[in-house]
Amino acid sequence: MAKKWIQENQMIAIILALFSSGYLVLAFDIPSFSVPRPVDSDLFPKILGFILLILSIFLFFDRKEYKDQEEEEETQVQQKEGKQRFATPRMQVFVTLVAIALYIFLFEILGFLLVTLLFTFGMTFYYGYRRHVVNFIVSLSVSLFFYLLLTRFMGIYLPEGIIPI
Amino acid sequence: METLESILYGFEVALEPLNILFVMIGVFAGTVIGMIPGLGPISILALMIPVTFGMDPAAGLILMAGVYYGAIFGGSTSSILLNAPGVAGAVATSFDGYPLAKKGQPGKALATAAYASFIGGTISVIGLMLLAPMLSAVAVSFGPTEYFALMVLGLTFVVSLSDKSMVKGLIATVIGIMISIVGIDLQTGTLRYTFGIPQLMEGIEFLIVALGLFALAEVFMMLLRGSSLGKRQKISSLKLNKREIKQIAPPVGRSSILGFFTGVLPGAGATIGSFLGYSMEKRIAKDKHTFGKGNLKGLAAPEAANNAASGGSFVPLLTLGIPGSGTTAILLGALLVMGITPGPLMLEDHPDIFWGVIASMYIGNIFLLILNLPLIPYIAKILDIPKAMLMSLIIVFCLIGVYGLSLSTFDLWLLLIFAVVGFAMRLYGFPAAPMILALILGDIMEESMRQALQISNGDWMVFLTNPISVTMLAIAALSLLSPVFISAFKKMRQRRNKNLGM
Repeated sequence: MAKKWIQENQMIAIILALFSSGYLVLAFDIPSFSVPRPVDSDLFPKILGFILLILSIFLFFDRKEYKDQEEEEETQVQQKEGKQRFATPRMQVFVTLVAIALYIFLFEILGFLLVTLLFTFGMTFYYGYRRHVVNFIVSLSVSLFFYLLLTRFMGIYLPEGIIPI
Repeated sequence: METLESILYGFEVALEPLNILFVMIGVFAGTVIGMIPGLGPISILALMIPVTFGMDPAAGLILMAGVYYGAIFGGSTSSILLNAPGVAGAVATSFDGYPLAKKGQPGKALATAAYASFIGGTISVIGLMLLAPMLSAVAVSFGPTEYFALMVLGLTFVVSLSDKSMVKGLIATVIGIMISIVGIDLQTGTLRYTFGIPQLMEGIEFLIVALGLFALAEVFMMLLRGSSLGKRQKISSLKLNKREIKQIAPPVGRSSILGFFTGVLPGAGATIGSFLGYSMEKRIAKDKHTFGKGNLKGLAAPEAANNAASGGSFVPLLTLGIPGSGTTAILLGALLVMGITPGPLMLEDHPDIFWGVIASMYIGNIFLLILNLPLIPYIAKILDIPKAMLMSLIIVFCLIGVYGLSLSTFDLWLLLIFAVVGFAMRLYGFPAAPMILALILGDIMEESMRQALQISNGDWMVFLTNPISVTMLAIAALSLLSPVFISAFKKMRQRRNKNLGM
């Protein structure tokens, strides 16, 4: 466990070092202002980039373990739970990410109302809620409530998609 | 006398029917959401920003402040009944609260928590009232040099006081500042880190980062933990007898004062306050061995301290415009969205907000006491909400909140990216609060640095020749080097002990 942890820290340190180097390169590319001034737009990013680079070196050699107790418990929970393939905690996180991405992608195609209804109902079902009628009523009222609140009261245009209200 | 006049004016603002309604809604919503384990006050407040958008600033802050201390108040309920703290500030509450509930006295535990919270909250509002105008008077004379140093101090404190790795905290802080400077540089019009994407010109909306890093990342963590809530204890009688009241009065008083000052310090909030309160009581108690087994004092102390700290954290926010914690950073962000810049001038420019919020806290605390005593058995039913539905609704609310503010799906993608970043940070032990704080302060920090150097004609010594700024920078440096000193000191002691042993 401890050994793996050190590698983890070093991995993150390398990624951060690369990121800060790239950041610095871009900082040196920031055009200077036409009127010379004591401090231009590029100074602050340069300082930040250097500090991050130094910090990533520190992190590379940081061998202390700071893991939340919660996380420790988590790994235990994970080992205990031998659920089906689509309901393991890790899978749930992944599916949720994909579902959010789909929501955003379909937002302007299907329209706010339908996509929000589908998302709320679908995710609640996926997380294991089995009272479908209650689920449907809640999902529909939440979607409708926000749709009417935003369009009628706040005057915000929401994509109508395929259900024009 | 002037303070009295001001506070009367504050009550005038806070007692407007609409504002009373907002206090009630705020503390009620806070109590309810604070109970639900897994959602911290930062996430809740981030979710509130779209709600307060377009509200009158005084009313908006009254509402959000109510949600904040309401959440700290309500967080104790699930600590006691489920041993699952609703908010981080209520972790210490569960040490003695849950054992007491298991012993068949959950009602007694809840009542103790409610009284202690009420007194802690009220004492902190009195402190806020007395201390805030004084600090404002001092801070009015602050120039850009002092402000820059103050922000450095605030950020380093938040990092050094967090229980996670200091290096990781600093990394989170620097990245937060990096995010804050994306967009058009307001002083020169130069574009920075926009990569030719027009949506990035205006900079990255703070709300997106807050909802992604906190609310969504917390949903992912809840999924990963995959644990369901435990059995809830049935609530018994909520009465305390005279002897018990006598027993909890001194710890409540002590912890309230301690908690308030902990809250005032930048970087130490309700969580640290509650732990300090608990350990102080345990240290001076004659019945140490009963702590952790349902000792009333061990329950009253952290509850008084965490509520006092949440009130105390408003001192730096309202007087300096410097948030001392992730939670107050969100409040500051909300105020900025409403077009108000908190700081020493707020007392003069917007006395209605300043005094109205303070007065509303008195009213809010009274509401909380009423809510948390007779109504608690009914409110605790909230804990029966199916977690599945709760999580979907939180996600949807985040998405709608961001879209409602920016009207672009580009920002929704950004939200998703920050949610992934927040989730990764949690997995690898990077604290998220410093990042959000840095994001809020980054802009102002750069601006003050440049103004200070503009005035000094590019001479960096200005930060070291100004007495106030050099003091703050020195304290900041010390707080970062503290682990080095502590380990050196330990080694010295070990060596000395060895030598003595020879």
